[in-house]
Amino acid sequence: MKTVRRSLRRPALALGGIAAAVVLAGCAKNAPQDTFRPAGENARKIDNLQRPVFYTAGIVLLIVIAAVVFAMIKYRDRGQEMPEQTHGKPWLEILLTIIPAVILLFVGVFTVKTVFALAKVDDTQCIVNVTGQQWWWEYDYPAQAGCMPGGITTPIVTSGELVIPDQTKVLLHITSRDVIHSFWIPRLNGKRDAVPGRDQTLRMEADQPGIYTGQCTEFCGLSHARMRMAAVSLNADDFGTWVANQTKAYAPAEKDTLAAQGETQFITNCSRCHQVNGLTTTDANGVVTPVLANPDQYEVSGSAPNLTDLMTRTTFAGATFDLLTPACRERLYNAPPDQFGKLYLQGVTPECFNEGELRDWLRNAPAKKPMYSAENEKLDGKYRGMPNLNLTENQIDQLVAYLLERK
Amino acid sequence: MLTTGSKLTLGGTALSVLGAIVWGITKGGSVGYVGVLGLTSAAAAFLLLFVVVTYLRDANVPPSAPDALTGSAAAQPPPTPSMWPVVAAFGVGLLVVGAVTKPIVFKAAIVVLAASAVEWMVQAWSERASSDPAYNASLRKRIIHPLELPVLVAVGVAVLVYSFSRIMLFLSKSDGPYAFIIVGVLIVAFAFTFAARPTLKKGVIVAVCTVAALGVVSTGAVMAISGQRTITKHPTTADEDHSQCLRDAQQVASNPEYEEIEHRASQHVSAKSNPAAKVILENGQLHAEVVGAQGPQVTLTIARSNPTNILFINRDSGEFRLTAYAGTDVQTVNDTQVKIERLSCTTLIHKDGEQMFTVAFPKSSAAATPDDPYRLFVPGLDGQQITVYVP
Ligand code: HEC
Ligand SMILES: [Cu+2]
Repeated sequence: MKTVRRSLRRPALALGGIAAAVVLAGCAKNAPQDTFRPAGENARKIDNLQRPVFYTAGIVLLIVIAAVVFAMIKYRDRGQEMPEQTHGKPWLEILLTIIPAVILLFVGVFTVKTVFALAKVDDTQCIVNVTGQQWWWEYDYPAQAGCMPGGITTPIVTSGELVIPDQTKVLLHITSRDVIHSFWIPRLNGKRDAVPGRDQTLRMEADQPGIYTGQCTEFCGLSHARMRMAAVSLNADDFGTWVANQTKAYAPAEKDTLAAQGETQFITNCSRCHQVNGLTTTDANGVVTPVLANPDQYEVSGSAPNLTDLMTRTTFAGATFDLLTPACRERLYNAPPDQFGKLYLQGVTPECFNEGELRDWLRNAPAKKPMYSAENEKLDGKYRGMPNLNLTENQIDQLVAYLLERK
Repeated sequence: MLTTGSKLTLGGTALSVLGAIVWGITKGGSVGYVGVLGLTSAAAAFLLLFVVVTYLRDANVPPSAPDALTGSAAAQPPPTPSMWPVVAAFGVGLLVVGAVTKPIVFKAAIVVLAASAVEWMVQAWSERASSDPAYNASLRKRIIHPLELPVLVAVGVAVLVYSFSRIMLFLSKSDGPYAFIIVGVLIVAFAFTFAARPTLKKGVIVAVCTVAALGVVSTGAVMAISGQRTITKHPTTADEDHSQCLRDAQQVASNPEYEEIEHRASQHVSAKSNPAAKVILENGQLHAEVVGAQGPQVTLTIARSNPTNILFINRDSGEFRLTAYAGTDVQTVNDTQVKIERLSCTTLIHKDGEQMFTVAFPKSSAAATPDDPYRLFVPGLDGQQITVYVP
């Protein structure tokens, strides 16, 4: 008997250690995707529901464990007689059926109430279309009367970071261009699947300016883990500034600069997939034609991120890699709400530019983010993700100079 | 003298050889090869069995023991006349008829023949299993019921279901549900009655069920003969033939034989629950509804190169189609470059009809000019359009 107990002690200790580690892992100090820290109305509704349920379930768990442990110790086998075996105890059985039923009824009523509250759309103040594809999110802002005073007159398209006005009931129309994805910003609301051909809605509302991260929560292929996203909330003024910036006219690179050479590089190497709004070419006769991407001919999903204002974002390629240096990123993420907007609207300044990451990307994108885009892994002659374009360091210099001005 | 068993195996040998020859002549290739090989092997096996059985005299009692001979199972007269020879003969007849008429008859004949062969053999065998007819009968049941009952039940159910389906196909779409309700209520009522009165005579139950089954089968037969109702295909969108998208109601009325352009079946039933927008024609005005957007919309923003579902609803009398214009494509036809409009459209939708419309805009709005924007419109209704922005 003794030896058995001793031999069990070690695995039990190890198990206990692992369990404790798992529990303690929940105490991370900097947990940006913490559902228990709601930062908006809908997330709060969910939190108000899940907390009581969680606590109740915890109490029930403790009671059950205590009862089991008590019975195990008190009535353990010490060689005593087998007690008399009886069948049934109606009042106890009825009680033990009624109590859970009442608890579940409570949970059920409040769950259904919350489900309906979350589905409310008729008081929407701003609409954003969200389109998922392998492995990044595209956001487009339809022309509308909402979102800000005066509304949005020219549709906007961006990727990776969903910029929304704070304290505004934003309705996302979520869909997908290829496989099923799922959109989730834990601190702002629950998840919603992005299903091709279906238009599903999800409400977002952030109390304060700030950046709230999330990630795709429906396995969607090779780089599912690198399909991240962020919601950026700005106050009304800053949002107006952001919109104005996104819709401003295209400013061509200054003649005879590195950036101007980059523009040419971009037109030859990138513009078949990536759109830069307002970019044009002029032929020998002086005829100006807009440069239009047609990624539907090169990509399985039929699209690639719009790069018009790349440097107004702080991340790229599915919000996975930083355009900001670690120090600048820290400063932005930890900025107090009243200073956040100003800092975010600066975009990527030359001092904060995390050049290495972008250069790596242009040198060999699929090496940085697995995307089945190597030549021999083409599907129907189309890519998933961005292929390795075998650019020279020279070309990369020029492209980076050009891209750094896209803001 | 050839015993019963040896006759059977000899017959088997002859049949297999014959089969192998016929097969070898009629079928070529690997099918013929495998078939001939299989049948020849069967013939060899039968021949071996024949030799063994003949040598052992089929385990019959030797003539030196006359008492045992008369008392043996094999010497007992068959207790009942068998129906299987008649069925088998019918099967052969059917086979011939099937060979000259329809393959399905031929296949049915083969099923009848196979079934009667099995039944016949089991019966013949069981009748000689012992000298006690009662025991023999029970033996037959034990062998054959596990085969017979499931097949009979399956056939019975199939006949009932088929008959019922003929009834449902005969009835109009609006009458169908009533027939279903009545049948359902009757079944539940009878089931309740039977359950409430377990003492009910078995005969009554059998009689009721038989009458009901006969009723269903005969009604089904009558309705199958009088033919099913006309079933109209659901129209859907298609973008195959652009030139027809612009036809308006008058053109269609004057040329009724014009084929509608929809080729795909209604694949969008589930999509109807979550369209990106509803486009509604009401009082000669076209507007869009988007979840969350306040009031009627005259513009829509649709993501580039993403097939997007839009529900078109016509509330006006007259037939209208919704058409999408997604810019132009330059194509080379006979060495000359021609501009082709990217058009797609719904079918003509009658009053209060609706249709799912899948549109895709391959290029951003930057490719369109302000006076020729991407748009949704209804041919024949001037000035009514929904401008589409593609960011
Ligand atoms: C065959 C199409 C294709 C070509 C050509 C292409 N890209 Fe990409 N690019 C993509 C796709 C697809 C993504 C999104 C990948 C992801 O995030 O999973 C992408 C992502 C990017 C991003 C990140 C954008 C963001 O907002 O997340 C940058 C920057 C970029 N590409 C730059 C370039 C440059 C510069 C060139 C030309 C040298 C180029 N790309 C050529 C398809 C292409
Ligand atoms: Cu995904």
